[in-house]
Amino acid sequence: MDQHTDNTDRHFLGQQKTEGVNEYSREHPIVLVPFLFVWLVVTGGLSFGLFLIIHMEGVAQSFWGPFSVLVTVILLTTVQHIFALRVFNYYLDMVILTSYRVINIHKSLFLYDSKEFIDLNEIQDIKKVQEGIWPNLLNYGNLTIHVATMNDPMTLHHIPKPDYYLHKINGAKRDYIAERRRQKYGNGNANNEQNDAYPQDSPFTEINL
Amino acid sequence: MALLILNIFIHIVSISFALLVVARIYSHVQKYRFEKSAQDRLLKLFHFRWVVWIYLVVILSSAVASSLIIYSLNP
Repeated sequence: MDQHTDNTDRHFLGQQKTEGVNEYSREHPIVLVPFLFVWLVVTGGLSFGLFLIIHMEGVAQSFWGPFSVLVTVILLTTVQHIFALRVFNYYLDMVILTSYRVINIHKSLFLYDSKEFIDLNEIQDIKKVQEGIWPNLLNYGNLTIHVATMNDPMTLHHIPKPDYYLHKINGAKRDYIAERRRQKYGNGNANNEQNDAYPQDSPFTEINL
Repeated sequence: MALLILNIFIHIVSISFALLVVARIYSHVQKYRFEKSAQDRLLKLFHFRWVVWIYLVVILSSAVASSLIIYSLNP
């Protein structure tokens, strides 16, 4: 990341001036499979029912024929809306790893909108859980991040390539801690060699930690 | 005829809801501006836009098809 680039609100609202985005992820698409299966069964069943009603003899002359078609169409439309909302919610949930923190965004279009932040410096322990046939076959799992100041750990569910993100978070944490040490000791000591790498106008001096 | 009018009314509500959903999606997406690069492969905004378009097409075609079916059964 270019140290002199102003990243304020660059990639997401609330991004700090010197904060760079390292990685981001959504849940593994496998979470949509149960909904896809239910959608296929219900849509197929209702479409078949609609087909039968239309091809029944004398259906056009009665009131109940078109009425049954209307009810079936309403059900079909409702199922399409519900399934589409579930897919959209999948896209809105996101985990962002920046150079300072881990951000877990849990959002739906209408019902909830929550964000959880963990400062990389506060991370005590990260646990990767990848149990079962499908998680190991399709390479997804949960990452649990323990923080001393929080009672409950932050769990990132169904993360694809959990090993990759585990190493990314660990690497970002190490870099962040090294940066803070440089800030703390490097800028105050005129004889320190690292002062050359972080001059007085470095954006790192502007972070309010 | 009454059923046809009821069907059209229901689908006007359905399409309005779909447009509201799309408006909320785009207002949310505008808060995130990840550049197109190798690092950003997971955002898949392109796929997301396709999903939105498919959703609108399904809802609109459902409205048209149901109206035609009900009209053909009971004009």
